[in-house]
This record gives sequence, C-alpha cells and structure tokens, in this order.
Amino acid sequence: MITTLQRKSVSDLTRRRARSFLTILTIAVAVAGLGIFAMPSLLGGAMNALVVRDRIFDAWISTTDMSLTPEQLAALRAVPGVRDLEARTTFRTRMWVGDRRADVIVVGVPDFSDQPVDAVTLESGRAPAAGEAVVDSGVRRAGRWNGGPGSTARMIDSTGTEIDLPVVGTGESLEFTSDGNQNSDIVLYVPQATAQRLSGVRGTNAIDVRLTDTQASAARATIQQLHTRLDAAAHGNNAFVDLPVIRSAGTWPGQQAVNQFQSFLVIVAFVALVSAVFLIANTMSTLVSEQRREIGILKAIGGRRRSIRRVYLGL
Amino acid sequence: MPAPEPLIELHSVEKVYRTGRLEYPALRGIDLRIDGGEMVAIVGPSGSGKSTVLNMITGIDRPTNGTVTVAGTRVDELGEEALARWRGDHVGIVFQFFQLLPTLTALENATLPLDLVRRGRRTGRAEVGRRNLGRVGLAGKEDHLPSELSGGEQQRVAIARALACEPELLIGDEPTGNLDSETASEMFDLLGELNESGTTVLYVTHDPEAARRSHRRVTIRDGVVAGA
Repeated sequence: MITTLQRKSVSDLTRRRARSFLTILTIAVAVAGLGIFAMPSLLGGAMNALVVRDRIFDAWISTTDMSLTPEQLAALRAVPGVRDLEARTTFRTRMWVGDRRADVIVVGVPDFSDQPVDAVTLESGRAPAAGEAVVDSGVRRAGRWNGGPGSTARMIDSTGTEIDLPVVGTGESLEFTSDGNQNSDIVLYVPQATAQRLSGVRGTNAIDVRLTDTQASAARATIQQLHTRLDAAAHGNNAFVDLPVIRSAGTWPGQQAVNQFQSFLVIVAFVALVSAVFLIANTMSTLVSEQRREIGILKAIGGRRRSIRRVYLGL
Repeated sequence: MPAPEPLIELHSVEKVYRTGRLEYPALRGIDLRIDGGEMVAIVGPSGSGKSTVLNMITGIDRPTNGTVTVAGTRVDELGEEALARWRGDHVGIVFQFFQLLPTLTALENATLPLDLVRRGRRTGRAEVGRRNLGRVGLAGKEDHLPSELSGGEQQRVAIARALACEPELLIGDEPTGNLDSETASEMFDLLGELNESGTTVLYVTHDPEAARRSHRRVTIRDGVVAGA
C-alpha cells in the first residue's frame, strides 16, 4: 500500500509528463556524459592489455628484400637490447570487393604457432595453409569487406596476375588490424611463403622488434646495431628503405586517431554535462517555486524537511 | 472545581517586520491566555495583527521579543524541525482557502498529516482519515478530488485533515472567509461540536456573526490586545 506522499510524488510526475520525461532524459545524458570522462582510462587499460596479448612491436624496420638465414636471425635476436624479433614479408596490393578494387595489405606470418612479435590471434576458422588466408576481423567491423571463412580474396600479385586466396578464418593483430591502421586497407594474414609468392620478395622486407629497454635513446642504440648487422647481411648495401618506426612506451597503433576522437567526445560530454546541470537546476528551481505553496502547506500540517524532501525526490 | 489550565500563553509578544531600512511593528506587546477547552475568536480590523498572533501560536513565525507557550512548550524556542514535529502532534490548522493538495483525493488529504509524521500503521492511517471524514459529514466522498467538491465540502476536508493527529488545539485562519453564510454557519456548528468534545478552538475572523459563535472574543487593534 503506497502512502499519500508517494501518491503525490507519482501524480506530480505524471501531471507534467513532458517535463518529467525531459528531466529524466537530461539526467540520463548527464550520467552518460560522466561515463565518457571515464573512457580514456578504460580504453587505455584495455589497449595496454592488447599490447601485451599481441606482443606488439617496439620498433619496426622496413628493409630491402633480404634472405636471412636462421643463423643470421639468431644473431640479430642476440643483439643487446633485443627481446625478440620477427622477420616477415608484407605486400601491399589491390583486390576485388564486388566490382570495386580496394587496397589490401598481405601480412606474412612465418609460423602461426610461434609468433614472438606482433602476434595474430585467430578468432574463427583455422590457421591458413600455403595459398590460403585469414582475414582481419576489423575489416568486417570497418565495413571494408564482408569476407570470412568460405569466401575468396581475388587480388593481383606483383606480376600482374589475378590470384585467388581462399579465406579459412578470421584473426586479429593490434599492429595491423583494420580498426587501427589509418589507411582504410583490407588486411589478410597468410603464411610467409604465400606472401613471398604474391610479392615477388624472395626473403623478408620487414623486421618487427621487441626491446628490453624502450627508452628512446636505448631503442635508437639497439636499432643502430641492427642496422649495422643488416647492412652486413645485405653485403654492405643499405638494408633500411625507410626510417624505423619506434613505438613510445604506453602508446599503441591508431592511438592518435582515437585520442582525437576522445577529445571531441570529452568536449561534447562537458558541454552536455554543463547543460544538464543547468537544466536540472533550472527545473528543480521551477518545480520548487511552483510548489512553494504546497511545501508551505506540508510544513504547516507537520511536514518535516526530510518528509517533504522525500515527496520531491519520489522516495 | 479546579482552575482551568492555560493551553496558550503569550507574554509581551512583539513582532517587528523589517524590509531594508523600514521597520513595521505588527505586534507591540501582546499578553494573552487561552485555557484548554475554550472556543476563542480573535477579531480586529485588517492589518491589526490577528493573523500574526496565530502565526506566533502555530510557530509559523517567531516573535521579535516575548514568549509563546503552547501546551507547555516554548514554541518560540523550538528549531524548524522540532516545530514541524510539534505542530504535527499538537495543532491542527484550517486555512481560509482550504489549501488542499489538488492531486490527492479527500481521503488522501485527510490522511496526509499521519503519513507526514508516520503515525500508526498505513492501513490504520486510512481508517483514521475515513473516520474523520465521517465526523465532518463527508462519508461517501472519500475518493473525490478537491475540484469535485463544493467550497464547504473542501473546508470540511480541511477540518478532517486538521483533526488527523487528534490535536488538542484547532486553529482557523478565517476558516469561513471563503464560504457563503449558510455553509459558514454549518462550519461553526461543526467547530462547536469539536469544541464540546474537548478540542480547544481558536480562530481569526473579521465577521461579527462568526465571532458570536465563540465563547470569548479577543480584539486586537494596532498590535495590542484591545479587549478580551
């Protein structure tokens, strides 16, 4: 059985439905706005967990076509400051998406069962055999291609021939995923040999490195040593074809774009919050002044501050 | 026969209203005693301070100087919260314009003070409200909203509400000021019955006919008691 005070609360709310609805909506917006302020730290925590899961690179070196022997790779892994290292072949080309051509990055993975750096985590299907591919799960999320297990990726190889790669699974790596890369590319993960066959690269053209010390000066020193050894492996030619990419500690691929979006959201949330506080204060003030007479009556017939507050807070 | 006990005692009560640098003395030293069981009318011209005296007795306003004692309690010394609780326990107030809550039914209005002070069980509160509506002649109209009742009926609901906590003192601020003479007469019949059943009744009026229905008249003029 409800009391007369509860009945009054309900009738006050239902008497002015539009205002009650707008007030509740405003409070909801304000609460959601507060949630947005918590996003940067929540997202940062989640992304740092992914950085650990995917063993994301600390440094990325683009090289000429290099055929590194297992001994040479072992020597590179033994360079002071290197925690682990992966030499892979990547290939940028075009593929058909319906009757439209789209950019695609083909990422070679030397061994799907042992990925020391920039690991690809399989999410469905199985690891690809030679001539097969796994599509990055961010591709579908970003609406770039609806391919998945059972579909075929038709692309052009380095000789100009159209090649069909059956897709046998979906997977994701924070370094390459379509959500994170800013080039609107489709991403396919293939065995290293398949990447070599498509690209015409006989060896590898990228070195992903995890460092023991990620401080900028230590990272530069380690990369310099790798540079020297890679130049030696390239028979004295310059092995680097681009400036190395060094990931600052605590950052992750695509962070800048996300941060910009977050800044925008924080501004929107702040404006929403200020408006909500103003609107709620205004509504409460209007409510109280409209009900001043009723509050006076309630006080005159024995209403204490707490009981009267209960009526207006609907408790 | 033992001397009657004073229910209300005002000693040298002064009230000065200040607006900026202006001062307006509403009461200039009121001494008043009302005994339990009396039915007293406070009369006087407009602006004489009648309603201010009532506000002092109910604790709605505080004196600038002097003391107000009601049912053994120094009302002028109580804090806001204690005053509200005290009012709920000892005083029932009937206003000129009824002051019912428009969204509540007659029964809910009559039960409201019990819910405010959380007296008794919830089902018992409704029973008290129903009984009081019966006492004021509104049995069968429990579910009517104030807008569905006549002025006289609304004032009866207001009286039933004032009786909810069984107060020893019933106070009316121009309780019939908004009613026609026939309905006003019925209202005083009702107040008379309540007084005969032991409730002290004190009301303000400037209607000579309403004043005649009391046992005693107290005249206030220019903020002082001009006759009692």
